[in-house]
Amino acid sequence: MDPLLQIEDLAVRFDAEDGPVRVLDGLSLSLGRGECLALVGESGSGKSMTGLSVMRLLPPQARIAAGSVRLDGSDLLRADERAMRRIRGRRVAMIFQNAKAGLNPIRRVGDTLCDILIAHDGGRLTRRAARGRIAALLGQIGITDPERRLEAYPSQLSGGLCQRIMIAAAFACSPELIIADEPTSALDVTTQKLVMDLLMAACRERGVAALFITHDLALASQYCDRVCVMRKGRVVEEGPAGRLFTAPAAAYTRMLIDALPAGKGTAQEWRAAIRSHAGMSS
Amino acid sequence: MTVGPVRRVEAAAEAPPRRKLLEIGAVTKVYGPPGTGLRAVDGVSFHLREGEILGLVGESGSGKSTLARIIARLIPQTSGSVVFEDQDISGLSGRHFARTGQRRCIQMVFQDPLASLNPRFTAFRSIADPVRRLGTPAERAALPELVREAAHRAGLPESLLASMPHQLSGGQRARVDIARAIVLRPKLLILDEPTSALDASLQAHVVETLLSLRDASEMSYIFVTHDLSLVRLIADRLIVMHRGQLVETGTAGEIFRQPQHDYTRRLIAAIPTLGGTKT
Repeated sequence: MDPLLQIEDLAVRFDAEDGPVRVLDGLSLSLGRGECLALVGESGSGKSMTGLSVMRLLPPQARIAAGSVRLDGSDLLRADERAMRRIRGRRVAMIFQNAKAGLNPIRRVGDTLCDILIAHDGGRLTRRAARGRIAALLGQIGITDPERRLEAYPSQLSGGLCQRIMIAAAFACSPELIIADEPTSALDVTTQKLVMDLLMAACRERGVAALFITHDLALASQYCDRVCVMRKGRVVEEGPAGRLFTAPAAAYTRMLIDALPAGKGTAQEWRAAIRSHAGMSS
Repeated sequence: MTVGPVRRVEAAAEAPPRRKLLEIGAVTKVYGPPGTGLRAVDGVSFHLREGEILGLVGESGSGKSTLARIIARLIPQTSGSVVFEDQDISGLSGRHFARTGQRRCIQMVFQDPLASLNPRFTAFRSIADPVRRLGTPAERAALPELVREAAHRAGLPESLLASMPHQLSGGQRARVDIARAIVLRPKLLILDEPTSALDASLQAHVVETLLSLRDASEMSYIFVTHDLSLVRLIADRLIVMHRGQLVETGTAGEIFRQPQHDYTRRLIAAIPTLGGTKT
C-alpha cells in the first residue's frame, strides 16, 4: 500500500549572514496509514524543521531547496497557500510543545477552540455546534467537566491540561496525520505519561498516523512502531523501535542510547558510557 | 503537619558522618493570605551533609522549586528555619543575606539559562558578575583568571567567552550558568532542573561535568528534578515532595526497590524505559 506521507530528498536552507545553512540535507522518510513514526535526534538535528516543512509553516528565512513532501501522493510543496489552508488542521494537524503559547491568553479556551474549528470547517459550522463538538471531544479524551474547562482562561489551567485540550483540538477535524512536536517535553513525568497514553490511544482508535518528534528515546521506544534517527538534517538510521534500541546499527544511535541514564546500573557505568562517545554529540 | 511514610536512613554508613552543611527545620511557605493561601511548602525538614548530593524530586507544583529558592534566600519562608554552617539564615532577607559572607557559599543554577543569563552580557561578563559583586579585593584583582578557570572547570571553551547568550547552544548556555555559579567556589550548589531543557546527550555531558566538579571540590548539591531515572544514578539520597510535603526520603536504591508512598510508586511507574512495554 502507498504510504500516507512520503518525504524524498528534502533540502531546506536557512539564509544566514555568512551564507546558507543546511537545516535539512536530503531527508527521506515515509509513514504508513495509522502508523506511529518517531523522529528522534539532538537539538538542531532538523526534527522540528521536518514537521514544519510538512505543514509548510517554515520560518521566513527558510527556503526549500529541493525534494518533495507527498501526502497521499500529492506534493505539498507544490500546493498553493489556499490548498494548504484546507490541508492544515483538516488532513494534517500539529501539536506543539508549549500548549499555552498556542492559546490566546486573553480569550477563554472555548472561544479559541471554536474559532479553530469554525475556520477549518470553512465557516459552515455554527458557534454553538462547534462548542458542542469540542466539549464532546474533551469528554471523550477523559477531561472531566469539559464545559467548565472551556470557560477558563489558559492561565487558569495546568500545562498538562492545556496540552490535553490541544490534543482534543487537533483531533477535532478528524485528520489523517498528527504531527506532535515534543508534546510532553514541558511536562513532568506523571503528566507526560497521561498525555502520551491519551495521544497514542486517540491515534490508534481513530486510525490516525502520527509523526512523533522527540529527543526522548525512551518515549519513542515505548510509544512508536518505527523510529528515524536524525543528525544534521539527515536520517542516519531507521527501523522498528524494538530492533533499533536493542541493536542499533549506527554509532550515533548507540551514542544517544548510551547517554540515557535509564537502564544504567550505576553512575560509574553511565559516566563511562558517556566518555566513550566524547566528541560525537552534535 | 501530616507526613507520609518517611524512611529514616541516618548514617548507617561505615565512614564517620560528615558535618551537616544545611539544616532545614519545618519550613513552610504560604502564598496569599495566611490560613486561606496556598501552602506551597508545608513543614519540610531535612539536612544535607558536606559533599553530599541530595535529589529533590516531585512533579510540577510539588513545592520543590519554592523550597530551593527559600534555601538560596531568593524568597523568604513563612515559618521554619534554614541553618547553613551552624548559622540561622532564615531571618535574613535576600538583600541582607547578600551582604553576608555566606551569599557566595550558596549558588544556584536555573532551568533555563536563556532566561537566567543577562541577554546583554557576554559569557565572560555573566561569569564575572558574582566576583564583581561578592568577591574579595584579591579575587576582583584576579578576575580574568578566575573567569577562565571557572569556564574551564564547567567545560566551556575559552573561545566562547566573548559570545552573547543567544549565540550559544543550549548546552553551552548551561555551562555558562554553571561556570557563573561555581566561580566563587561555593559550598552548596542548588540546581533547579538544570538539564530538563536539554536533550539526552547534552544532559549527559552537563551532568558528567557536575559530577567531575563535585569529585574535585567536595561541593554539596541539591539537585531539583522530576527526572527520577537521572537522579537515581547521581544522588546519595532522595527526598520526594508531593503537594508541598516531604513524603519520602532514603537512598535511591531504597526508594526504587521499596517505595513507601503511593505517589513515589506512581512517579517510578511513569518513567519511560527503553524497550519498555509498548503503550
